[in-house]
Amino acid sequence: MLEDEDKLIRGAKQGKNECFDKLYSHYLPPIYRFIYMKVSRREEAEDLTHEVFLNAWQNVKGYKLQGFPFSSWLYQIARNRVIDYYRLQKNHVPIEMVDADAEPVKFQSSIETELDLGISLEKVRFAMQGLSQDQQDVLLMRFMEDLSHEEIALAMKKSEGAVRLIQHRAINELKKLLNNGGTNS
Amino acid sequence: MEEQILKILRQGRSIEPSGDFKERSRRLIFLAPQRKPSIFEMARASLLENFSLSLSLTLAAFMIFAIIGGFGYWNSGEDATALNGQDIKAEAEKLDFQIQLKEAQYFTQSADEIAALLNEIKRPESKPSGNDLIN
Repeated sequence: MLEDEDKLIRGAKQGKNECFDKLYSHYLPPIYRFIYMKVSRREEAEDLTHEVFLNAWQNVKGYKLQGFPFSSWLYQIARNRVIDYYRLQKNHVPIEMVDADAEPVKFQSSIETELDLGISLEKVRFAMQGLSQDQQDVLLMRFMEDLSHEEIALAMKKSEGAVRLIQHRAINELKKLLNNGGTNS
Repeated sequence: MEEQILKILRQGRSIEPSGDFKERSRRLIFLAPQRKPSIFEMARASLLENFSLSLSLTLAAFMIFAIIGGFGYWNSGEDATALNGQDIKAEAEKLDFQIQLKEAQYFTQSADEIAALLNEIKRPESKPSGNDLIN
């Protein structure tokens, strides 16, 4: 949670650009990462991320301060936006079929050289496409963004117990998918 | 393997949006007007927010009335002597019986007196002494 987050939210509700800008700068990277890992293409990730924050700016006046992190609301918007994206797309494109001209993500660290098992982030991301939306969301929010189970529960409108169960099943399923080469066969 | 998977996911934090995208998106966002929540949205949010409070207050009021009403009944003492159904029935039967007896005695006495008076009236030679009948 951002320092003085409630104060910034109140300012944003009053239409103060500088307040929302601080929220935007703080939460843009995690929301972008979350969406990118789900849609696998930079252009789509940028478009969807922009729509999430545009939605948040336009509707922040209706946001209720209840002591929950602002990120929970942003993740709710992001999840819904990705679901709408998939509905429109109907078929998602596996990462191997991504257009060669599409700009690849440049990682700041060489992940492949650090791993003994040769599992790359790309492979993990591809394998995650075989998980349910809820399973993907829990893994990304928990292990990539380090959110607590409580924060994830708020974002997904589920109980903490349900989130833990989804996490447990997601990890087991992901292990199977990686052992099968990223497919459900 | 699980630890490796989780380690890889954690290293996904290195994914960052480009600076160009960040600035472009920011400019576009602040050009857009903010939307005021509609009356319906505010009413719905308020209803949902206050629903649990209203329900709690209603239940509390109901409990208070139930408790007060229960204590009032308990302390009235009207039926303290006859809470048992059988006792109530016996008392009722006893009362009716007593009333019937009293009524029967009244009617019997009245009939005797009236008969005596009529006999006196029939005998012309004797004048009824009202004193005999009155007492």
